[in-house]
Amino acid sequence: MEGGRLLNLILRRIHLFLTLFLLPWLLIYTVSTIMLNHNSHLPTLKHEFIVESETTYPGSFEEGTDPSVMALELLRHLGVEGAHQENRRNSDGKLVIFRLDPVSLRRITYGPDDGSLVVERRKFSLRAILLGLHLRSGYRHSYLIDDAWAVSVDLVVAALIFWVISGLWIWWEYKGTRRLGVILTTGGLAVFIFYVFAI
Amino acid sequence: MTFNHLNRRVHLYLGLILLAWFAVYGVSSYYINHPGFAQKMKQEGKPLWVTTADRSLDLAVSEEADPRELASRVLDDLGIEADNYNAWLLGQQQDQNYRLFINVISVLKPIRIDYYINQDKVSAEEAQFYWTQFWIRLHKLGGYQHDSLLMDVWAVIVDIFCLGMLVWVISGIIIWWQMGKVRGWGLISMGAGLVVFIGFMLGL
Repeated sequence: MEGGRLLNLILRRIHLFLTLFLLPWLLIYTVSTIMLNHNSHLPTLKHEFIVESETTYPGSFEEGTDPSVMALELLRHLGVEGAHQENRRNSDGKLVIFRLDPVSLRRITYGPDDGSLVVERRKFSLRAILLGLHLRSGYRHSYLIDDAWAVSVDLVVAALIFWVISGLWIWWEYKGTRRLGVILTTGGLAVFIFYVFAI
Repeated sequence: MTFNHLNRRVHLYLGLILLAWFAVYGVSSYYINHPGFAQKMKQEGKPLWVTTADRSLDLAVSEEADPRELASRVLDDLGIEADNYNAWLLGQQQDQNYRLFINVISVLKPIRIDYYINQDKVSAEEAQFYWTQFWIRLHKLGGYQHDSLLMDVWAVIVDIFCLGMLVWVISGIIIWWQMGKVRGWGLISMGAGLVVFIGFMLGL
């Protein structure tokens, strides 16, 4: 097989298999983008929580312990360690931890005075899950699985750029589509450039 | 023209029309996934926003003032011509910090304005142009909540991009299925993607 044809074949195969591999990501980003775009047409997203358990933490923390240290210890105790955010509630001094599980987000409330530990789970909401996944990015959590997710987002980024380049290549190979292709590409770019300057 | 032929043409031309948006969402997502630009600029002493106005302004403001109408008067006074902006009244009317916040939407030069109604003071800041911010602003542009025809049309374009993406994916799957030789490899790719994704959903 000559060089040009081989390159063409390789580009086409990567173009195809990358799409098939990234199908779940593409569907999530597309559907959630429609939701974000129509936010004003949809009811306000409210997170409703269901109590999963109400127990007491058997240990204790020294006064002045950093909330992040407490949060990590409590998550380990509950067996739900992973990406989370914590903050101390001003009204009653309780520590509130959000375990950022994309499917079932948990809210854990710890009372330092009596050791009370309440675990609540967000009610199932497809919209909340999709929006949560759309907004989840970056290498900001100290968990390998979260870094791996960020790598998968980078793969989507690389794929989008690759589809642009390989798509142009594949189009140019079809001589019969060049004319209409130029018109459509130019038209799309013209609309885009108009908007960059108009908005 | 056969269905197969039509499907391939739709797949190709849709991709070409939406080329710019594919590129925008690709490049901007990279910057969103690798944040830290604002911090870097701060460390280098480069401001993201520059103050363009900081002076007194005394407008008659009624208790039932409409934020958008009030914003229009503030913009006129500052000599800023803008159709695409959002405005909110923030705080309690009796507070010293009761203010009108105006966000002038622009891809190239967004402006944010604070009008402290009880202090008769207005300040405006204009964003400095950085490519990183430019891509991110394009990424976040959308929605029908803005009172502007131009923005509504952009929101329609975002919808078209999303629907186009779905059609592009479906037509791609049809093209793949008709290529008998690569069905097996395609199934492996799709299966692997699904397994990895489910792994994320269980492990994250």
